[in-house]
Amino acid sequence: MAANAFVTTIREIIPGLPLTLVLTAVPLVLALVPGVLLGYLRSRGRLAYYLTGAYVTLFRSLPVVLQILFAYSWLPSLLAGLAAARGWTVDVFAISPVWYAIAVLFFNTLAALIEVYRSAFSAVPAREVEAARAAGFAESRVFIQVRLPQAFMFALPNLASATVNLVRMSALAYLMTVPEMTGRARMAAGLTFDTITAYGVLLLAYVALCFLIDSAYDLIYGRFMRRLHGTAGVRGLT
Amino acid sequence: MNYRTFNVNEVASAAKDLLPHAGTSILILLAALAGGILMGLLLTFLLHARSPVLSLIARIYLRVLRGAPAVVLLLLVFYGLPVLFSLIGIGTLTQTNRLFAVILTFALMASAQMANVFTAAYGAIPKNQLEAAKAVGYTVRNRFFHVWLPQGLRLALPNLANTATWLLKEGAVAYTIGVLDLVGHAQLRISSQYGGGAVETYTALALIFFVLIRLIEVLFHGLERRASVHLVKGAGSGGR
Repeated sequence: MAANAFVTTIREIIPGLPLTLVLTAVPLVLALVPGVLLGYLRSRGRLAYYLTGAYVTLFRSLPVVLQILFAYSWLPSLLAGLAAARGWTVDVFAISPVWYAIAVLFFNTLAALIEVYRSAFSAVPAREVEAARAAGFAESRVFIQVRLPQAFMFALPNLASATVNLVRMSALAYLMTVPEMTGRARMAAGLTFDTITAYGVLLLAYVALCFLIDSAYDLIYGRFMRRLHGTAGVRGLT
Repeated sequence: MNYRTFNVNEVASAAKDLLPHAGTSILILLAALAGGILMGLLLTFLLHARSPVLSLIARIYLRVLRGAPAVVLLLLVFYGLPVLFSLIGIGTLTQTNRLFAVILTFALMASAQMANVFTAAYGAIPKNQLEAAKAVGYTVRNRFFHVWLPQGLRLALPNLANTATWLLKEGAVAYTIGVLDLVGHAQLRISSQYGGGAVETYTALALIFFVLIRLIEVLFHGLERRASVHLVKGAGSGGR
């Protein structure tokens, strides 16, 4: 019986994996470029520092659950009101909750990435920027050839953590009836009445996924380090 | 037309309804933090233990906790505890056990964070101090309580503040197993009004969370300042 529940659970959870991956990859990819730019601005200008700081503080002060409840109860009626006022012919209530989940996860990931890149850009040694300028590099070239590659390398471990956190956050999308892994595990628990197997397998699935993500980042980090040290030798002798 | 208007008075009334229940959320936070610190200390010892088996167990534990979504771990603990209890032969599932399941879950989550925090703090304490203590005959226990712990706690304070605010936010999923904390009561309030005032109630909830998190930050900042009062120039604790 237990073995049967185990098989049923796995069969139920696996179709939820693509959605979990989408809920992770889409917000991450969308947040990557604005995250780098806003993180850079946050490490530089005073005004940008306070503006991005307000954004980061807002999203870091609100539980993701609350944001999801908020989005799910408020966004549809807001959009419906907007559509009615503008005379749009879209049926707002037919929009898949996946989009709301992606929106919430995107805003939170952006807040995390801004902080990741702020500290990464701050860690780039000032002497290297000065040396590049003294050698006659234009500011755009200083950014692309000196700041960005190093900031990216400094950011990688925290980027791994941000991605893992995103995977974990995506589990909350089931509250919006999104049938990702957690939502489907709950269905499996309802089918088999074996809640422990359902959530045990689910936990292992998340742990395995996060382990793979961490390993992938480790691989990229290793390659990047070798390249940075091997060819250009930017930080070679320090 | 399905467009609702936003009622500011309703936010105030929701805040008044919810505020008395902040106690449950704070209780969960404090209990989980205390449990997390104790388990985190134990985990740090296991991690740095001479025995490779013990440190492997600690590393696997950290691996699992790194990838575990709070809500999944909560469901597993909530449904797994009664089975565990009945195996030992005690108790049935009651409201107290719900609270216990939440506290245990978040203590587990916090313990993984604290192990990382303590490991970093351990690395930041100058090794010559521990060697000096050993040389003058401190026992392992004395080295831990008189050299390592006082400085480790001070170094860990900023990260402890982060863990505390993180716990408060992650703890918001407790309502999914029916614990009546702040979020639980917000959901009750909304369903008692047949879904009315949802946006206003969530706004009030957001404001309460915002204030609580600022309070935690102020509190820990004060603690940090008190803990580093002795660090005047020339009398540094970092050895020479």
